Amino acid sequence: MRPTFLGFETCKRGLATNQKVLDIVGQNLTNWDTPGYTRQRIDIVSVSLNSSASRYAVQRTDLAGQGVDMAGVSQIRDPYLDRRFRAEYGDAAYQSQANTILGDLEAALREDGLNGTDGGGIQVALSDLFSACSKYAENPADEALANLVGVAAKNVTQTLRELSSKLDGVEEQTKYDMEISVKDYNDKLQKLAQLNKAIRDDVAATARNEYYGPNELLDQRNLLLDELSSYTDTDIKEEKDGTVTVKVNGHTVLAGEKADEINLRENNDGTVTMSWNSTGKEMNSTTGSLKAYGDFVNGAGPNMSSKGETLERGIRYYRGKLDTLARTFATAMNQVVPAQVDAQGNPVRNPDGSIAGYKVLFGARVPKEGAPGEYTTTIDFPIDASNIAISDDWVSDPTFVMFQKGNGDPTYAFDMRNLLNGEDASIDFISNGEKFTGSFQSYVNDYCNTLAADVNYYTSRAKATATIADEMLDRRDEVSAVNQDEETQSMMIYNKAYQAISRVLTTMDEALDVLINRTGMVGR
Amino acid sequence: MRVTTRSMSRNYLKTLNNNLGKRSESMRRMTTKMKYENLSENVADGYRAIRADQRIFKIESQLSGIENAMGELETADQVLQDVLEVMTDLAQGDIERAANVGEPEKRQTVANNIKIIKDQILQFANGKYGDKYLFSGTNNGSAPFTVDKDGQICYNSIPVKDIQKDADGYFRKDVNTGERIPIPWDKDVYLDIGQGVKVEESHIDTATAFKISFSGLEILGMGETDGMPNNIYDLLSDIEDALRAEPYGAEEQKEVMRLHDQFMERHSALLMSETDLGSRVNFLERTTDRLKSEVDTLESVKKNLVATDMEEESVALQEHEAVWKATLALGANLFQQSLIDFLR
Repeated sequence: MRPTFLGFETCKRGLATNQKVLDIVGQNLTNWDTPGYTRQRIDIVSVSLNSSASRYAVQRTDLAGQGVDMAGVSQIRDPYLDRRFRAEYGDAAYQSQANTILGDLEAALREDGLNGTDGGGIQVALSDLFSACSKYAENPADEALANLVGVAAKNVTQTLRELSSKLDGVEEQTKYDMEISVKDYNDKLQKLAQLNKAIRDDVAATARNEYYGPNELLDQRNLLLDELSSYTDTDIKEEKDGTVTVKVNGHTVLAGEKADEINLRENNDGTVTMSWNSTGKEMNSTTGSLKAYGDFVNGAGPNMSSKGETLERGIRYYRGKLDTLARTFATAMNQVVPAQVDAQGNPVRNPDGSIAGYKVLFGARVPKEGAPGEYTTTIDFPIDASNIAISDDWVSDPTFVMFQKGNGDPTYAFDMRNLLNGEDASIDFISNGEKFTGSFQSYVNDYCNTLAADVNYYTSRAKATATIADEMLDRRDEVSAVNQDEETQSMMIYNKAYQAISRVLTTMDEALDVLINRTGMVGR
Repeated sequence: MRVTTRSMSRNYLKTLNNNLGKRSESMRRMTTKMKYENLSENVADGYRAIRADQRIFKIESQLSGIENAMGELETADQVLQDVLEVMTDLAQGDIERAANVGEPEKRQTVANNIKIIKDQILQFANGKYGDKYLFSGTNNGSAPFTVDKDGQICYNSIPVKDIQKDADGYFRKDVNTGERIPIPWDKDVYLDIGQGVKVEESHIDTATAFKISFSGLEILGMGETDGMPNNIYDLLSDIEDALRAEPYGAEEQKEVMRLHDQFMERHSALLMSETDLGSRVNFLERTTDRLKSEVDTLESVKKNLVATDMEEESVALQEHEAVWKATLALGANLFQQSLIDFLR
């Protein structure tokens, strides 16, 4: 037999369910643009009586029509799309960071746009020296023209030192950014560990399950996992207790409340190493911006010579290129102007015909022994872009470059000029693993082109991977984000349902009123 | 496909930003007149433009050198013309006429004239272009030609009549040992006319350069022939001495005529040198034209590679403007309307 107030209970559940649906519609509409928000849904079930749950046989007809109930508030999310998005996001972050570092290098080493002979780059300084040598070749006995060569040569060394200093700046800034990124990564891991704990406690306390968790906490964690995936590769596994375990290239960095942090260390040779706090082993991510930092700060390209360096053409590669330029420039220029002249105005030669000795025009600028704050130039110290300078002899005598005062022989002026920009110049620029043969101008052209091609490649890759990551984000949003029309439709539907159930309740009340107040009243 | 408000908003902003970026890029191309600013934006074209620019710079440097050399050659040409001019009367029979035995006054007059001409020749031989001696080879520290106490003309302090030339250059022989002694500071001077002067072991590859120097030895002559000096100065000294000889008879006249014949040969050589100078100037003029034409071509190549096509770009800018405005209008409609707007 049907219980008298069964319909009221049905209506009560219906009203409560529809009210809750309207609450969640409001929640979705207000959070449509909240970062990390996943749309929620009330899972509605029809209440059915299952006789197997009762100790007695139940007449189903009597208890039918008990209405609706809420199974829980779920999030609409697809773990596969999360995984795909995070993989692409890591890749995009790697390409983007690589592009940023190389872009900084290009800005530091850039010539004046596409005009190789104006502005303040090394190409311009070399062109000015070429021009000065050309003028000097017109009258090598002219001391004023020889002086111009000295001024232009000094500008070349100053430009090289400036570029070296700019590279120092790029390296310093990149390492600083890297430090901040590592700190942010570690902070995020700690937050994730705290969220793991909060979620696990919530799940345990409220007996929620994998479908109905603490949604807002899950959103926060998912957002952090997204952000984490921009730093390294992330292999995420959801555990039964509600926590997530995160691995980076096989190494567990987050398990329950335990997070392993990254330590960043600068080595004596200037390379940087990222290692795990727990094991001390090197952090070997396969993608992400932290990998890009490591690859391009330590990147020595084919000139890799130490364990800490990488094969990417990064800061160390281009610094090496500049140092090779400075060293080779000094060495070649120090083999041009003969140091001794015979009575006929010709260079003194050895018995085998070779020149007996050359004037030292360039050297390394080093602190003067026993004279604090003073510097001297020497060839007994390795010359690089940071220390190259014109020799002390040249500083004290602006005409030092002259083969012989009063001698109009232009041979040496032509020789210097040819080294700078000769069509057939064959100077060997030797780095640890690379060798380039040509003039100084062609060498600078070559490494500028290599850098430009690298920037071009990583710009294209960054765009392509960002497009894929955006596409994955769209696909994920197709599932998880809020659609205003959809929510408005739900609002209308459940509002109607609420009104309808209220009407049912009124009807039932009227029915009971008939039963209670008007039944058996015949003859009164 | 489920279109969500968040992705619609994000993608709209991305599209709006892209279109704004294209408009901004187009404006940059218009204002800077450059298709791109960084080499990394178009490596292949950018590199070709840089190479063109560097080549232009190199050619302009060569043109400056040629201009200077032409000035030098033209000055040398003027000096030679002056030398030839002062010797015109001598070459047109003054010596022959004065050589006659019966005209002692005329001989004295011509001899005095020769003395003046010799001084002029010495001045011309030490002629300068700016601070540079024109006929000094590589010696620019002091006047190359001087006259010693015996009245002989010397080149870098060595009597010119003692100087000879072989494949290795100018030299003199030691009086006692006969050893070959090179003449100091008399290497040739060369100019780069666009072939790039090659230098090997401090020696210029002469095939790659254009010789601009004029050795005074070549022009004025050096060494001796049949006991007569080849250089015009000493030769004129000998003629002067022969004209002043006392007593002056048939033998002396014969000697003057022998020296006169030698003088006429050297005069012809000077005329040849002047012609040679003229042809060198002509060659440099043609080279200048060729290099200037190359600069024009390279400028055009560079322009095509990096310069903005203003007509094309102004049309593109209008398109970007239109698209940007359309995107803004779309946004106004896109976000204004939703189902909520139609609820009663």
